[in-house]
Amino acid sequence: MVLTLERNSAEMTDASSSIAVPITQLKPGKRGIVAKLDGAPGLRQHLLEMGFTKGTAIEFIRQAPLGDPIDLRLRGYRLSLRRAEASAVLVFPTE
Amino acid sequence: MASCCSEIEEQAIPVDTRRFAVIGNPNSGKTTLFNALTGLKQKVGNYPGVTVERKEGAVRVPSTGQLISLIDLPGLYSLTPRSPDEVIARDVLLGRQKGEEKVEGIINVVDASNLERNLYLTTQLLELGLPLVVILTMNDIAEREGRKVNQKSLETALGVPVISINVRKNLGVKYVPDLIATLPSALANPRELHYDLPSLVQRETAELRDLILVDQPDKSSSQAYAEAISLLMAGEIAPEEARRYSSSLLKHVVQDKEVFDATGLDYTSVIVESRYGWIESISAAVIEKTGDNAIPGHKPATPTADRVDRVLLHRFWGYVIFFGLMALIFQAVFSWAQFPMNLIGGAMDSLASLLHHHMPAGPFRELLIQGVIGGVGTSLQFLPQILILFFFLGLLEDSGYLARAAFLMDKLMSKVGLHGKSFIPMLSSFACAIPGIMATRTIDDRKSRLVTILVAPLMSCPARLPVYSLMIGAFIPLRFRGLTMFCMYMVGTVLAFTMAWLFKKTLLRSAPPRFFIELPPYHLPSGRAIMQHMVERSWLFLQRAGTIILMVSVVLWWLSSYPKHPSLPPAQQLTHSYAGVLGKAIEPAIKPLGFDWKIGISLVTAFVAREVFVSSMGTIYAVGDNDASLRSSLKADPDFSPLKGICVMLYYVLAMQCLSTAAVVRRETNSWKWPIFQLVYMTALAWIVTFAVWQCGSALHLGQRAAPAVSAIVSHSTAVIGQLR
Repeated sequence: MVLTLERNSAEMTDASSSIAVPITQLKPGKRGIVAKLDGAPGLRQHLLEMGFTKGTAIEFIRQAPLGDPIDLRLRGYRLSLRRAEASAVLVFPTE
Repeated sequence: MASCCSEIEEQAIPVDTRRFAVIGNPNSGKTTLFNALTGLKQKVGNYPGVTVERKEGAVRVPSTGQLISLIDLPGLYSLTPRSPDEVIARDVLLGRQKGEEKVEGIINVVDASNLERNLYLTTQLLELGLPLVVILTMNDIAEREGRKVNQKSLETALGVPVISINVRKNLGVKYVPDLIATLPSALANPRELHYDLPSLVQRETAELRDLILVDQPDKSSSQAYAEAISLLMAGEIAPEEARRYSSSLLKHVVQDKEVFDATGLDYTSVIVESRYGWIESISAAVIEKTGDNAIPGHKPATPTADRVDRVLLHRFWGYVIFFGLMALIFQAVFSWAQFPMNLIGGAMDSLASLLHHHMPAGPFRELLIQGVIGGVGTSLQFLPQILILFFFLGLLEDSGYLARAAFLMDKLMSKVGLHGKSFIPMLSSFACAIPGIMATRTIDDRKSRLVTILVAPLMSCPARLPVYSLMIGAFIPLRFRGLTMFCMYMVGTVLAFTMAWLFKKTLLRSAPPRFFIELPPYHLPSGRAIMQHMVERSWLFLQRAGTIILMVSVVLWWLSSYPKHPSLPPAQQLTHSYAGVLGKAIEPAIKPLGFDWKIGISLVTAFVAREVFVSSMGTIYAVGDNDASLRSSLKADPDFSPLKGICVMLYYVLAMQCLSTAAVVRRETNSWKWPIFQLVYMTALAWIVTFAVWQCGSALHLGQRAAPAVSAIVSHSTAVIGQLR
């Protein structure tokens, strides 16, 4: 049995800007959609596998009181990353 | 605490028992399920040569009465090899792990409240072409958040059996073994998942799969395909992996990568994004919006965890709560453990006197009383502290708070190259390094974990208190006592962070560890799960650490008791025993520290446990265990100056004088190299610091024997004001 399934494009909410910025530049409470991933291949692969694919909606919840790490919500779960690595995620801010 | 299924007798598992691997994301409830199915009868160990824990258990299938064997694989987000955990998991699933039988099928635990990310691992597992069943957990949480997963739809979408259970409430768990038993031993037609991939990618991957099959024809087509993807996705292929393939095949891989580069195609992105594309279509099909969420246009409410975190991760209150919790735990392990520890001590003493009364005098009785009970008693005494610490750690971890703690502490830890997750093990080590070191399991990065283990014993633990107490009580004026104690703790802590920084810069250099930590939803901790965890960890400690401790205690007892000199008083007996000879032999090495052979002997005997230092000194000064008289004796000793007292304490802050710790390090690192290294570096550190202080102090005539009048005043006021406790 062979399963062939269509890929649905992710629901895209309207982007308020078409310039991609590192997610670390968002203010707490803001959201964005993944545009692309920079950084070393190993880091990119890891981020991708954790769900940071193109078009995924990410919410920047907060940064830790000392500035690092940051707290994100994507695909229904919460992930915490250090700024140095999170800055590899470039997003289109949405609100 | 009986498992849901009938108890398994402690018998060897028959050879033809079907074996399945249990795998799922961290925090998916996999471990709770595994424990619920297999009960406490699990075999826990390590995979050869690595620190990855191996857990195997068995469960009986109610309908057939057959036993099936379950291997609990580490919690993973993906099979892509990034750490030994993933490598081992892949190898076990592909049937190429040394010493492991093949598994027949996969039990994939999937967290419904986090469906998409959990399904990523599922796609990789499906690609392997092994029989698979999905155990869906936490659908109650998903429903609460308005995104319930329809189990039947998921079954259709994935093409594998799916059962929805609630592990915490133990609902549905009893149907799981029967479901597992229905899996065939191999898939008749392993399907190939065709994601929406560009034709170039499909073609090259298929070609590579065929090459692999030429080399290894008995591999299944699906497995070869999975391996092909893995090879093409890997940046660099690890040597252990490369060895499995012919060089012509590896060359082909390199050529393929060049082709992809030339066309501007990022193979990894393509594969991962198409997997997620498939996952997104599934999730759209199987997730039912429930409750208010079903109302069109309704914005989903903020999840509970996010709301709770507004307080717990608050820039001010978050830390207040955190430090309050840490203080509570610290206090608990420190003082609540006292009572049970005293009980155990009392029980050991009673047992000793029982033996004393009922056994004929002689070396065998002494061996039992001083060697065995003395040695075993030492390790048993750690039990209350371990139990209490693991109770709290279990609470923190199970409730989901531990991840928040790591989040709050990460900035501080990263300054020395460590990890937010290192904080709690290091804090726990103030109570006892042993559970602290065991708690480093939560740290995935191998080097960070090792560094944490190596510096943990520098955090002053209660066993050092008798030594501090003795020296401070004998030599330090009352108003400086608290300060001195505090300084000792500070020296240990500062050096712990310094050494961590140093190790990270030199020996165990690695890129700053990737800090990807999931903040799971909050759960009400499951008492059962915590109890099971506590018992498991304590039992492991007793088993492995206990045997080494017992052996060495017996050896040390023998060294201190022989050769026998019946005519001599006990003080002299010790001095003339082998231990005494050893103590005198090391005197030249410790003389530059200001130590003499008396201290030397006590250092030797105290290697079993730090507190033994005090009893040894008591024996040598012929005053037994009495604190006050020992203090007076030390003060009266013209060779013993306050400076020397401080040097002894400093040595104790830094030296590795705990056999039990070494035993646990050996177990946790699965090698002898690290405990030996730790022993060497800590002894060297202790020696150097003590040397510096003694030499400088002596040169500056600090803390030397004060004039007789002054020391008389000091000792008089000390006696009047009372003991330091």
